[in-house]
Amino acid sequence: MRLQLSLLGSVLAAALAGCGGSSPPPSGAVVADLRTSVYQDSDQTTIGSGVVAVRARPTPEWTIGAHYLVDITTSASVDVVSAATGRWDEARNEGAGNLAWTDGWSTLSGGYVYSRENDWESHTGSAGFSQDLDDHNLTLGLGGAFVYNTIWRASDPTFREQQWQASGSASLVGVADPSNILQLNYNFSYVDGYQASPYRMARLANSDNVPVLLYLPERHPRQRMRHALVFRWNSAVSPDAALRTHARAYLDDWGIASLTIGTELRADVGDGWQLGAMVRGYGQLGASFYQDVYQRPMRFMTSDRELSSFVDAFLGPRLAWRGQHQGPFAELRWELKVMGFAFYLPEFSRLETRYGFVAEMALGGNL
Amino acid sequence: MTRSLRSASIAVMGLLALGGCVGARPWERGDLAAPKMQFEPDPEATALEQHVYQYREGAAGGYGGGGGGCGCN
Repeated sequence: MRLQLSLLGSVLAAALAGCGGSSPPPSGAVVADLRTSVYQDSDQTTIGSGVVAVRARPTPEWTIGAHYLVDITTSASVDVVSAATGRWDEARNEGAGNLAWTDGWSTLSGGYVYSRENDWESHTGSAGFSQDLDDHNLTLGLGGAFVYNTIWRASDPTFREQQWQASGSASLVGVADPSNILQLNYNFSYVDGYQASPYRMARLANSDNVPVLLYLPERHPRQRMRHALVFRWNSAVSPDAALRTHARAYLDDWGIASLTIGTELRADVGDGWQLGAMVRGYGQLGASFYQDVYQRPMRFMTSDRELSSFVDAFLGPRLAWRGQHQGPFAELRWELKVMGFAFYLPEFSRLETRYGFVAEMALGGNL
Repeated sequence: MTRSLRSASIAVMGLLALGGCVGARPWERGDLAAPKMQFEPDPEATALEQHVYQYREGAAGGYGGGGGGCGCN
């Protein structure tokens, strides 16, 4: 089961790619990347993902790109086990294409993403514009996206729901000085439609503790307005090292308020090798209607731990190598990254702690 | 609605404050041009990483990346 509450983030990133976020490939180049990752946590969930991405810049003005992604999940999470669903396995396939035009100062971009799995289908369209100002010291970006999702329940032809999302984003990137670059990004999204899980059940009991008397289908509000404000600061602390710091404040009308803070150090150590380490912390206040166990039926009921109050932390090392003029390749890249994580969910009695790791490996090249 | 307006106002003020950046001349941007100084040096890496966060946390948006589902129970 998957709900597509966050696809807009990726779409807007693509739409705003020209505003100081990422560089297009060199003119005339074709860039290909293969990336795989494995996720494992203590909630008996394992996810393997793979993505192949190709970008080409046939002329100085035009960049075209596409990717294909697949991920395979196997899980016996407490969520679904408590709903008597047992272990489940599923695969998701996603294809995307995007096109961008630039004259060196202005950039226009657009993209489309299609994704499908056994109980969910999604179409996403996006567009973005960015403008460099002040001798390229400032870049203003604007983006928008629309997502239409169809959600159903595997093996239940009677259940079928829709959801749509509209999103907008404004971004400003500024060069502070020869060693520091800053970004401020505001993102909102409005979601309308089915936002609960077709599998999860809210728990009803006559006290805060077991026994649970009744399981009722989740009922979430059908509308949600979300706001995120992100500040990022990349600093060249030396010619060979960069400190990448970020913070996000988030608020939505379900009552969730959260703060994210993180930093990463990347240091060149010679011969194309780069070492890095990251740490990230997150905390949130839960949705106003979240309860671990409900005393009586409510208008909105959920069993989604992501709507409770909790904190988490991620940290881990990164090793990368980049070499120029390797055989037929103008550039070759290789990367290995591992992150360990821990969640503390005091309002989710079925599993108050969750820990695990994500390992990621990538190989890429420029022709 | 009041919350929305307050968030939007804070965002606008932040944008204006960032607009006061001093900047660098083209020949001073050597360090800034390095991949490690880009906000999105690798969009696929960002997507996979944000994917992990977005389906395990209540917040989303602002960083880009992410994608459709996975272990989001």
